[in-house]
Amino acid sequence: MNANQLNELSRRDFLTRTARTCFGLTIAGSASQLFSPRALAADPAILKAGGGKAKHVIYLYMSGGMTHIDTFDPKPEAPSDVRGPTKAINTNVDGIQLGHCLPMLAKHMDKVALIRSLSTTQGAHEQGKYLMHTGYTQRGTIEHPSSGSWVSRLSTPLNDTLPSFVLVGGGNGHPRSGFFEPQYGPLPVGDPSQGLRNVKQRNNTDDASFERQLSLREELDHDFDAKFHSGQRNVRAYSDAYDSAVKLMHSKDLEAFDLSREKADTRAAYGSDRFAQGVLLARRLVERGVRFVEVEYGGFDWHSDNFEQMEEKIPVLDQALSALLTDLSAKGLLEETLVVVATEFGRSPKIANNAGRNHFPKAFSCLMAGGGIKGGQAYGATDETASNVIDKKVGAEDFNASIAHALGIPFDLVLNSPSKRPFKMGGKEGKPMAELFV
Amino acid sequence: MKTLRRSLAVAAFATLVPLASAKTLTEKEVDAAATKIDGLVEADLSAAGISPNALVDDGTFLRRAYLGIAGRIPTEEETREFFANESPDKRMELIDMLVASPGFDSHLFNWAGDLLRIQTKQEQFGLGWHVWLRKSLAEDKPWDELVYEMLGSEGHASKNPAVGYYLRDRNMQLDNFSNTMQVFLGRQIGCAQCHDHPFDDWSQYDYYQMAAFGGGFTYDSKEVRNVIQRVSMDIFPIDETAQIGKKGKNGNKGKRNNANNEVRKTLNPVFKDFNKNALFDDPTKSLRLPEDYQYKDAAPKSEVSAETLFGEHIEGISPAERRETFAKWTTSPENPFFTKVIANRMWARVFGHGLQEPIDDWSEDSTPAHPELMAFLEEMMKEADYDLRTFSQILFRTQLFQRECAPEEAQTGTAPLVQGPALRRMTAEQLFDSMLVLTREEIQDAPPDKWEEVWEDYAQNVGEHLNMESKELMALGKAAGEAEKAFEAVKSESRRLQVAISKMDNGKEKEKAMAALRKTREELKEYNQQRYPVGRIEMGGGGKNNKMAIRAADYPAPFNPASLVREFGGSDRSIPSSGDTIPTVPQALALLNDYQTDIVKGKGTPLYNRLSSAKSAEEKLEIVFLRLYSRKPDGEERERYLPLVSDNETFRSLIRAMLTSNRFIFVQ
Repeated sequence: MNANQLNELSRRDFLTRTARTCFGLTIAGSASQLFSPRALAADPAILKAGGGKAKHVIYLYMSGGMTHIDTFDPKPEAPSDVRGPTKAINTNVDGIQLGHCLPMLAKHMDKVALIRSLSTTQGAHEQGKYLMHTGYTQRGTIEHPSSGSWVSRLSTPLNDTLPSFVLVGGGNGHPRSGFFEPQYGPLPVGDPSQGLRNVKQRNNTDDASFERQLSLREELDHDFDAKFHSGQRNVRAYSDAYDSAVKLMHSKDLEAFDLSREKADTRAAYGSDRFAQGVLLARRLVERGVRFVEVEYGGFDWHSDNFEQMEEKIPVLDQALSALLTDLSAKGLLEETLVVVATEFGRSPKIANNAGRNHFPKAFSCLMAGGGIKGGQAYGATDETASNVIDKKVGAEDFNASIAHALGIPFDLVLNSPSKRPFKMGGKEGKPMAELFV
Repeated sequence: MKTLRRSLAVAAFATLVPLASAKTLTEKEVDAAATKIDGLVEADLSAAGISPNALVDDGTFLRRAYLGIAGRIPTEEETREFFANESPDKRMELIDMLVASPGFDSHLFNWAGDLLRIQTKQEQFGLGWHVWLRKSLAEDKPWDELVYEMLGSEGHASKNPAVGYYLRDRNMQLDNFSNTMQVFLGRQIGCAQCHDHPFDDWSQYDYYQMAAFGGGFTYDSKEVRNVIQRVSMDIFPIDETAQIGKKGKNGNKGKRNNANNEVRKTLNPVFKDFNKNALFDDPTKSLRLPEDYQYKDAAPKSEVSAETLFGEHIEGISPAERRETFAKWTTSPENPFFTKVIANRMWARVFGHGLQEPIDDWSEDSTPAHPELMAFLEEMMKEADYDLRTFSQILFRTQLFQRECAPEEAQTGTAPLVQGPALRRMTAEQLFDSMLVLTREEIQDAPPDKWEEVWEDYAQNVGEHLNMESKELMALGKAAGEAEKAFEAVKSESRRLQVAISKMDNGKEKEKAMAALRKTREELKEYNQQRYPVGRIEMGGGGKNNKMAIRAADYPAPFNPASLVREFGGSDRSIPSSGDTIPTVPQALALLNDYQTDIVKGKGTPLYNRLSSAKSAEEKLEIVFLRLYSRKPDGEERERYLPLVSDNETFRSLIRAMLTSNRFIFVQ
């Protein structure tokens, strides 16, 4: 038996063990099918419905509540106190328009499905952000896992040394792993240009002393861990974190975090903004097998000067997202990578004082592209002032169910919290948006 | 009270210790309250057939007390002092000393700053609010008074920095109100902002009735309005007796308006930024229902009059009084939530878990663990006159604070009976401050004077400009306007030069262009000063390069996202209490490899110097144990680790391993 075979065997053994510890007795039957090494899905029902094509997700989160009426759901016919100075522009798909700050995306409309019929009841940032990320309303008694953590938990890693879930530029308050063990939570990266810091051993440290240090750490903690390891999640989490940290330090794919390895042209194509560089980082990570990369773009809470801020902010998204779609297509990765743009709510169509728009959860827009999504469509619709959903109303749980569906994860698979309550990636009653998929 | 000699920041310590007479409860009363708490806890435990955890040893106690009360690990000296003290009452002595120390203020400020989401660099008022809160807590301003001052605040930040509480959320009156309810009263009614509450009794109308106390927020400065009026009268005198009755722009009123506009325009560059840092409640404005109000009980956009929905019923007050009425109602000892919420928050700070969980989600029928104890805490908070220092002292003086942590964590959202404090990871700020103890010769527990001085300069500058003679003020306004124009022109020239230089080859021409660029930069600096005669705050960095290490509380908040503090879950100050202690892989990497956590990097470091002075391997091992774990190695550890000390390489591995160990980062 050669070394490769041996590796393969121990890897499989590892996966089986992971499977057992992950699922315990909470899921039956189809669970084993999730562990197909490439795409996630083997469930024929999901495949038949057009799901299961995606292996990765790039989830771009517009934090603060992105205005829908000025971006993905423009209303050129609306009265001027609603429309403001925003103009609608045509795209490469007949009958679908975008706000005028998205000219580059307009050329990719054939790859994109706009979702114009989101509606929730959460009008505060913290609660709205929580709902979009978890598919559940925030309650005091439980912490729900975010969609990235669901994916991390329900998928096999495609890369043994890189984490399954990376969060770029995420602020505090992200639900992360919720009631799952923190190992399913994201690896946070603050500044994409700096990449992953501290992955090199200190200059004055050789391998032998590093190893010694690691084993001394365990020795020193022996009594402490004996007392606390089984009852305290955070104590367990540090054991995992050190294991993962050491794995990462030795990873052949560490260069994934190093944007300086990209050509200057490519970096420029995405844009120089921190968010744009984060999107580029997401592409590099996905290429190397990371399952779920979330990139947060903050500062969409425009209670005043909506239209000035829009001119600064939306073009950054336009350029980065368009560069990403171009790049993924060119590399043949778009078909297996679901690209998502999400936010917690829209903005009030009626322009408020100081040319601002306030929070508006009743109707807002997000988008999906790639990963088996049928492009060139607008899913659902709002009325003439983008104030009410009039067709195919969907909520955060349907949104997350659709992400699951694209990956081939059963959206209604039940996992129990430690307090023995049942939860699903698709929320309580979420269903995938069937028309999004071919 | 017998106090231990303090080795650190002695001078600052002396000036900040509250006078004994200022205390709201006598030592005896504090002691009796602590005893009563233990009695109530133990009675509940014994009724449930369980016993409290055992008491911890001295080393564990010392570390827990320093971290829990003063927000950092003790220095080696402080540790030795504690062990050497033979008084039977030494634990209580330590608690009293720490509660009275500036470390307590620093640690409490981190908690309060996160709760209130203070961002130090938010416009100008951020610094003022930061300085005000830091000072108020250090001076034991009672919690009810402090909250009252914020909720009732108006005017300019330079005169009343508490106004930062509202300016923090400019144009977001409703969000601010939802936070007020959650932070101070533990009521989560935010969902009723947009629709009837799904699982509580709150309708959207109820919500608006409560929010209506906020009234008509006007982000503007009355002082500046008055100045404009005064300058206008001085510069453009109008014979107020002539032309009475004439209407339109030739009438007196029209002339006055024109004059006012002229003055406003000219003075705009002077007061533009300054004007942002102020607000008042305009009694002619009232809160209105939203445009899309969907319920039948009222029409969309109709005015809502302020009315309370729990506690003392208040309605029909005049707009001029609404803000103050609301501030009083919220902070009244009669308010059914205000006192319990802060008492429970303090309990959770000390013991790691609230008696009611989540600590910011109460309802009429909340049943906390140990209900009798909760009632007693509420009573004691009132007795202590909302003095957080005294109230904390009561909790720290309990036997319960000296008990071992439970091996099992409590489930989210539940409040089980309390057998001992919860095991906690250090907060990001505790870790930051503890790293200072390990890497610096001295650490400053008290705030540096710098921020306060910067703020006072600003406030004084504002005052001077408001009182400036009218002609002078107009001249300044014109000059500032000119400077603004010049600034823009030079800026575009500077940009042009930069682009041109990037395309030039090295040589004389390039040098010339570079010199021109440097000149534009100097000019920019100068014009920048002139175009902002008021309202500039030069904060510079924190205490990074100072020899004296400054604690996390005294850096501008929030920390940079790439900083160690943020890596370890320090708050971004966007939502209340968002700091967390969740372990991550980058944290492990930071403790393994980051230069900032390398406490044994070569010669000249405090640890190196200290170890060089040690005479034996035994002594060296003891030093590192005292410094990192706040206790001496036990027999087994001595046997195990002594052989590693003699070799530099292995000793270094040991010290680094200690820093990465759970025993270091968790507070038992």
